[in-house]
Amino acid sequence: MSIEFRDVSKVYPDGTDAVRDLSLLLPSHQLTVLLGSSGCGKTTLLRMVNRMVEPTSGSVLIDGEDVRDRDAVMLRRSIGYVLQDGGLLPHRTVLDNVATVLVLAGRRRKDAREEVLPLLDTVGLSRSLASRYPAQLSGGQRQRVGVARALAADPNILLMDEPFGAVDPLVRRELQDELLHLHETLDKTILFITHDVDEAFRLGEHVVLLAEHGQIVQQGPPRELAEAPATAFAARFVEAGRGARTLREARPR
Amino acid sequence: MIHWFTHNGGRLGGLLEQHVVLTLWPLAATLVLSIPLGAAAARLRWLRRVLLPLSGVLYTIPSLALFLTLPSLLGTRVLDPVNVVVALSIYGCALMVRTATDAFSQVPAAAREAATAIGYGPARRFLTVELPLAAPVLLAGTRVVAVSTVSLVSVGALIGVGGLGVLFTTGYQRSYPAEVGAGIVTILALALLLDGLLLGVGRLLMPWRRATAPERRSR
Repeated sequence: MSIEFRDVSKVYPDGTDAVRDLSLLLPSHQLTVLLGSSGCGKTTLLRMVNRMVEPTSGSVLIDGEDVRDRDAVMLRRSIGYVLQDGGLLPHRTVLDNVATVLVLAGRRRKDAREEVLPLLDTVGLSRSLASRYPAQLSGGQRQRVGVARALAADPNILLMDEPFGAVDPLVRRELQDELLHLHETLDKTILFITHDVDEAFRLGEHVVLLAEHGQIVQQGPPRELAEAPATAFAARFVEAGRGARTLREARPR
Repeated sequence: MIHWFTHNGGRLGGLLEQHVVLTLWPLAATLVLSIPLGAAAARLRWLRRVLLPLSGVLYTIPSLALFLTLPSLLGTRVLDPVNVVVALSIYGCALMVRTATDAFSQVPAAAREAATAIGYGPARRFLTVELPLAAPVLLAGTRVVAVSTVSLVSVGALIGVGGLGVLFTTGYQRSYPAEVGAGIVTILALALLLDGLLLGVGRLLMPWRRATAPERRSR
């Protein structure tokens, strides 16, 4: 399903000017990464898609249909959402967290549990973890549960809000690889947010670099951004990632 | 004192029953009023600014004074047990509104946000996410209110509504220390029993607490 932002702006009640007049079309089945520093309005944009944030002006369309015409709660159930650190409900077991969306849709808890059990395999979680609580899992495991939960209702769209920010670099790499694999096999429209240049370039088919107030600095395939940064800001942003990389490699053990 | 217990079993049973009834009504009223008030106050700053100082002031009113003034406010008879129930509900709320506000304030914003993001409507989110996550603190508050209500009910004996406090007034009038002692022991036992019951119910209703507590300690 395609997602289109049409001239959207967002000013929060406290006066924060998060997004100014942004237009962006995300084609169906594409993994798009919104890349930018914190405060660039990327989370605001993501949340406009499932109506957790309503634009002050402009509109968001899914397959040409304005999301404002959809019931917010039903809309959210039809879109997978992965939050930082999994965003799991601490009082529910792993399996119940994953089954939540189906239960919300009216499925009996027992049936929902059975139905989502295979999803644990899909995201690489041992079924023996099904009855654990989130606090008993590692950061990487929690993140996998978060992905499984987002997939439970088989949505066409996945929104991912810095999902791998809270895990260590090795696990992060692993999760990124698995996300790429999932994207290949499940073929969903994915909108992924990060401030990490490396992550954006590894994952994105299309990367949108944002500056303050949701201004699009440059967008295109990762290679294009890496090889031909459009502005000094873009060059600095890409360079900052590369700089950190070099430093990491050069540092003696 | 053991002698007293063996000879006053019947009378003790009646007083105990009165005492339990006079404890449970205010306790129930406290929960029914405080939980929604606390949930609202956790969200609305102006309500918090009104409720929290108010609850502090309410708690400072001497209980005997409240028992005696309520009949003129409520239009009840002086000996009506309703006075005690209302007065103890006021004290219960004075303690519990603050705790309930804290209970709902400490529900992790991330959990609330996640619930919204995956499609919980507001009512369902409150009942199945916020309430359970507030429950451990609510339970702690309820235990304090329960025990304090058990002890406050005994003051009601001074205005003749019965309960185990009667053993204090009659024991004192008749200079019969064993009767006073029996009253203290029974009230203590009742308080401990109620506290234990609440703790047990909490364990049953909040399995995630037990599952995660030992791990947290080891970290």
